[in-house]
Amino acid sequence: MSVKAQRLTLIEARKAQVVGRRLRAWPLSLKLGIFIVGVVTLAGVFAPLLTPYDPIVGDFTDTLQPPSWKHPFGTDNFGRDILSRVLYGARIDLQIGFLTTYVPLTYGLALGALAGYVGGWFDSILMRLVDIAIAFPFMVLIIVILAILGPGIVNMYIAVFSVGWSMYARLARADMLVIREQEYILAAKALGYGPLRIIFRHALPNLIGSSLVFSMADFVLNILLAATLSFFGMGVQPPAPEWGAIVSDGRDWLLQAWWISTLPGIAIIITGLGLSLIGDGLSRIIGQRDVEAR
Amino acid sequence: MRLLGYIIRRLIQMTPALIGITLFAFLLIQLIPGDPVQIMTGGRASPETIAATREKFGLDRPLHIQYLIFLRNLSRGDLGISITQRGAPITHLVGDRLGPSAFLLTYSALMAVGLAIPLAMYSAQHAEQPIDHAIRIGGMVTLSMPSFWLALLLILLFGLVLDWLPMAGWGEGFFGHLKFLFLPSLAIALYLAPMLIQSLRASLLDVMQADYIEAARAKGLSPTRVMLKHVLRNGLIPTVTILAVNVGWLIGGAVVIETVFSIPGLGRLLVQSVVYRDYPTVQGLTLVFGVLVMGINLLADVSYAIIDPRVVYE
Amino acid sequence: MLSLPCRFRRRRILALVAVLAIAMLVAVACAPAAEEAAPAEEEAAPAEEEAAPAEEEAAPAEEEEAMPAEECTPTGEVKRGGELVFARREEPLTLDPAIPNDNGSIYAIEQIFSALTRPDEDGWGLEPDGAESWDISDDGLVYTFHLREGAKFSNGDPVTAGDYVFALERGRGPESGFAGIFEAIDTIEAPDDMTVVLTLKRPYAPILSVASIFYGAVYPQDVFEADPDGFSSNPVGSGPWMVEEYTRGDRLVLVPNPHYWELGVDCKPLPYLDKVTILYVPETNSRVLGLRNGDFDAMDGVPFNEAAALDAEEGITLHVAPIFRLDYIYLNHQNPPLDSKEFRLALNYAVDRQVILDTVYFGYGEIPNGYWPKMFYHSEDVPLIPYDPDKARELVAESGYNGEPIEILIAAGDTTFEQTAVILQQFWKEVGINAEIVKNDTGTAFDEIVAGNYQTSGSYITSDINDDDELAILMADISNDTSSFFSWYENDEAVELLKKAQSTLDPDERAEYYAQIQEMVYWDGYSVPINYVPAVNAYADHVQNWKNIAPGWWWLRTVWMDQ
Repeated sequence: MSVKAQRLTLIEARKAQVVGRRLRAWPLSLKLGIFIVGVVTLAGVFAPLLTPYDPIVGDFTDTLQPPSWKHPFGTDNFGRDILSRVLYGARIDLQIGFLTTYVPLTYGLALGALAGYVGGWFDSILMRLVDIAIAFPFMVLIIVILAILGPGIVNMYIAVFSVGWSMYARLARADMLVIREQEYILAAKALGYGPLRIIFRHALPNLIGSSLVFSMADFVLNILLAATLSFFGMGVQPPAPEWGAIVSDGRDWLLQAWWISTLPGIAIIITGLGLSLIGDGLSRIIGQRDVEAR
Repeated sequence: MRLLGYIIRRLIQMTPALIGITLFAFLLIQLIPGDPVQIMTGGRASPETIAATREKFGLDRPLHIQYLIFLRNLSRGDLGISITQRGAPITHLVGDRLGPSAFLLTYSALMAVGLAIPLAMYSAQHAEQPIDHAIRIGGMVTLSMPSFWLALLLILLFGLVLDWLPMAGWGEGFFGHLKFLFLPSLAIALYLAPMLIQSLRASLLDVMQADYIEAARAKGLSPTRVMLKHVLRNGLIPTVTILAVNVGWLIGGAVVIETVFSIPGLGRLLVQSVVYRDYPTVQGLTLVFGVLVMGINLLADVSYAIIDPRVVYE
Repeated sequence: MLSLPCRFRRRRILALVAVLAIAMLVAVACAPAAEEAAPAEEEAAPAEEEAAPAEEEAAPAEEEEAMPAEECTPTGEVKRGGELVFARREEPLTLDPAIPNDNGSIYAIEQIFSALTRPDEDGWGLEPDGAESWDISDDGLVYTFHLREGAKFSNGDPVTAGDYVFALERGRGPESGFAGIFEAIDTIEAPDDMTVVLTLKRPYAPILSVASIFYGAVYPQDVFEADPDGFSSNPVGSGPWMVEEYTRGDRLVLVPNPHYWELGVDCKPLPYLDKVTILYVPETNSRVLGLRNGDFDAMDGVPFNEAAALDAEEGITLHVAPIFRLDYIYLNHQNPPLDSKEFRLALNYAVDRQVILDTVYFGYGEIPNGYWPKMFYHSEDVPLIPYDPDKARELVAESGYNGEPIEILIAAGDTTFEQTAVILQQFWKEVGINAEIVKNDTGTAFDEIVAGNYQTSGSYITSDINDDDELAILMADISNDTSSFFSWYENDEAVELLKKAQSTLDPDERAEYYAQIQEMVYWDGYSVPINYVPAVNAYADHVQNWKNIAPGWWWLRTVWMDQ
């Protein structure tokens, strides 16, 4: 390795160290956010231990009960305990949010990085696709795709996987356009490393930042998407206790039994809040690191 | 003149994308399982009726012919006729609904801006203090609310508990619209505002470091006045950017609001048309949405060009 | 998707504001396009109103000639005038009477058009409408209708027999939504302007009822032919109301037909109201809240869970009316295991319908003992399939059911059936039948049913006419266009009896036949009938004489408001 290259690698390593030290002083929002999301996740995981009621099968003698000691969130028109449904629903919603966010992130990031680095016709075509995908009202696109495939959780995944990568591609490409001019990339190129290696080993760690920040907002939006699809009857099928489905079902009972719609909505809000806080915290860290790197 | 050239260039750039959108929508809809004629005729019609109806709507022709007919009609300003609405011209359907949707979106945007400006200013002035955090957290909360949940809550609150505002339809006359669309616009605005607040606040914070602010303060102008002046000059651009970029997403969100508040708008028509397999209407609406989104983006681009002429030379 | 803004230097904001202003003007400019359409219609109306006084001066002379047959003595007092705002769950998709199949359109059409006959006050019988009287030939094959003297369309043109022939031919032609309803008619003729003659292929008791159906409602031939495509948005009829405004997705505004023949209890022409605005409000909560706070005067589709609360509320009256509607679970007889009679009966024995009636319908309705809605020839004597889970288990075993889950298909957004499906799933599970609920959007669900790609599905059926024949035979005759209304139920014996029931004009004979058919098909496990569902409307106390008749729609012409 040439002296210059050695020095560059050392500088990189020291930057990582500095960043590592900074990471220990995480912003409050990040810690708070992780705490909230952690609680929700644990609630979902330990749901069977936290509640004696079955979220699917109801007790017809106990319908439409307002919140009480016996049923802290009340019961619905089938006599199902709403708290149980919300707890079990955490599993569904977190799973949906996670998969619909991070799966498209992986290939979206890769595609965008590739396009930004390689340029040329690949870049043009990809960006045209991205523009169309972003211009088209997202909700509309998903509804249409689901109309083709039919309702259900799997088809919802297929629909979002086909469309949800575009923003990550755009973010990665934008960052890549900046990064590819930076010294450590140019050095790696000079050293003769192949483009794929450069992209995935050297550039990617620095590209991930903005996508990660955005992914938090995306996570929230995807949970809301799942809820809205349930509202239109196109999403998760009954009697699965997806939060949006519970809210939507409670619509007909809004005037008599407000608790059916309102309380699962609060679960969505709390989860969303936690995720947004994480996003906020992450953006501060990334921002700091950018400042350091200069 | 340069500006005009820029506008024309952008328009030309947009055309292939527009055609792409209609083709895309056309093909996508064809993939949906289901026969619109069966749905429309309600199942009791005789085979003769079904065949005659199919012919009337040109559904018995091969796909590419159908698409070409669509394009030809388009050049005459005719969006075709609706299958579900039994032959009603789609241009009329869209025309009727464009008003409510446009009113709703404009009203929401204005409300969002109206909410965002003072809150962003307040936030920036007291940056990192509890009130700033509170506003930010408030924004995260409303952003995480499912739109239909928020809509239902507003209905409960304003319709049932406080009987102040109507919650269905869009009323008659300009002031009627203002009254009827208040709650729906509020639901959308509460969604939009947090994003606007975030960007406005960031831009304000940047400005607050600047020297000329210090100079203005030294002259005795209150920080609020200085900020307000700055916001009105510089804050509107990022605001417009966010509004423009998110308009596609906004239209999608309006679909839910239009449904819950029974507003006769384009979003609701779209969902209805998809559900009833009204291919011509979905196509026509896709085009309308595409034009709307691109038109708004063009408007935003033109705004940048006015602000920053360097853009024109790209 | 979110995006982050870039920063810009400051510049003239005037240009920006100008751009925004232009944008808003463009958006608002599109709205008047709709409003421009309306004034054209409004200009048309005053022209008619100017014509009317001239006719009214002429009319008294005519009325005095027609009067001798029915001299009018006032029998009551009403307050005329006022505007009624009626919030409806469905909207009309077309106002052309020959084509629709959806109740959204049908119930609106019934206000604008008249046919030869019409259902009477509660809907169970028939009375003259467009025809004042009729004669039946001895062999029961020729019906001669004498049209009402002086009847006019809302545009002032006289109603002629030629118009009836045109409308009826269209109603059984290639554009018709249900040509099959007129299947028994051989020829339709107008020997003169005031007589319509229907010649049947065979004796057919339901013909008078069929003559009331909206597919045969009359409209001016020349007006239709002048603009066939436009007629569905700008109809002209001879019913009590005419259209002032029709904005799809929003509202239908009706005003009185100035030439309507029928007189009210005060011996002046019906309707009593000045205007009826029918708003399309699909959101249930909005309808209920709107009625409560006075935005609406009346609403339909009161959800069962709200009915009691609304009734108890001061200032609001609940109106529960029996209608020709049956909610049931369609069974696809060609799709195993539903091809087994034992299995189908097991599905029935396993369910305690009282639970469904109480939980889903809040007690409104009646447990059915037949396969079509409760109408004139309904037999109370047919025994109900009782709730007997043990018997159900026996039958399941007998049928050789292999445990594979059966599918319950429901349309998304149909909350009544969603709930029913969940309850059925639980009951069926208890007797060893596994069921999966599949929720599809309305379009897909409909397609599946029409194509026969379903096993069971929750839906309802309503009758447009008040003769049992329409549905009884539609649902049980596999040879018709719908294959026993999408059940693929095959029973030649039942079809034989049904044909006999339609051919005899003797009501007692018909009653006997229908009782037999009802028992036979019901006990064959045709379906899983759930409820004879009533219509539940609600209206403000100042609304008087609200009537929801059995075929499903309302008599708006005799409604008045005490304000």
